[in-house]
Amino acid sequence: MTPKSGAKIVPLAVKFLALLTFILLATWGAHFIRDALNLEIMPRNEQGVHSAVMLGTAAYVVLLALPFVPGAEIGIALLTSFGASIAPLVYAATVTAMMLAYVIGLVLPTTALVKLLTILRMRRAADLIARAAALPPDQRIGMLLEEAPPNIMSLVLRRRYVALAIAVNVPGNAIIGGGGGIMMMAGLSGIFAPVPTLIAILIGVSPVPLVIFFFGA
Amino acid sequence: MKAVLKAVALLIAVIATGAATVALVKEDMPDLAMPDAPWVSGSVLDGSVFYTTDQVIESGDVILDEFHFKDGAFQSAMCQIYCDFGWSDYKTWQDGETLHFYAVTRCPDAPHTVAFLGTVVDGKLSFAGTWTTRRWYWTHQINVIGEGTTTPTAAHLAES
Repeated sequence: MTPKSGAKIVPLAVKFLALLTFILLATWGAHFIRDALNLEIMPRNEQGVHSAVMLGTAAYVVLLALPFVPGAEIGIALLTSFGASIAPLVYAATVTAMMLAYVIGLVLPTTALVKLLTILRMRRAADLIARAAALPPDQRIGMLLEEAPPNIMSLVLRRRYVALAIAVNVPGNAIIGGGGGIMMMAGLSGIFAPVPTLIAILIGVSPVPLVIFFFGA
Repeated sequence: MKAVLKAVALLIAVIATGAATVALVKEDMPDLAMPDAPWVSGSVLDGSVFYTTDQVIESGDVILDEFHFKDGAFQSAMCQIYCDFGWSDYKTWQDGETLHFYAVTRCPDAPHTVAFLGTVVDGKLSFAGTWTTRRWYWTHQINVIGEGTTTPTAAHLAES
């Protein structure tokens, strides 16, 4: 091992250990919060839990549909708290949120959308839509992938529904707008037809809820 | 305008399909069933009040309850407090010294169903029960067991 390669491994190992520590702490924290909340559903609290689930689901749909808003955490929190029994609801809510973002992009004029996001003080999302508005519709989806390798771009152009299904499901997609941003841009682009888009989303967002539904939390 | 209508229709279709799918795939949990036996409409226990100590199997919670029997009807005091269940018919059948009883109660304002299946022997009541809540997106059930007599315990007296 040369001194140069050793110098590269140490920061990498530190980063790996930091990530491992974070995952362990996050897991411990999730269990701690769950125990502290005492989420056992009993007759005395069932009505409250039902109201919280409905409110959480509505918030999840709205937040997930907005670009750059970390709404997925609400879905993960619901799955962590209530396990497999809530998975169908989380799945349906995720599909609804994605289609809501798509429909907003499809229907609302870009100027109105930029204005709305600015009023909501969502500057990054407003900037994203404003930049997209300056481009022809068919180039808008490509804008999200300016930095992507050529083979990814080629996949997007050849198999756009497959690419869409993968994109909304890939961890870390928040840096290009999150599921809401990607779907809004898909609507804005005008190159995604409603029914194939719905099918792509039905498949694309299914892995996590399906795994939890069939194999338990 | 046509595009807006199309979009709204698409969203409504997505929400309706999603809700229908959730309702369809959710796992149902049956209420505690009434076993086959020569059941008759209840009257034997009329006028009795049993003070029971119940345990929720899933959580270990202990609940103090009162089972009231009157005019062929049954009422659990805790069900009454939680959701105003009111009075429900009960059935019984005699097997030697053992009197079996069964009752199903439903909350009028929420989708809760509680089923009780138990016995009374020498003035001591023992039972098992299920509390099932059927929301459109899930079915939740807790199981409870308990026993009691017509004499309130110190804990019941302290609570009343």
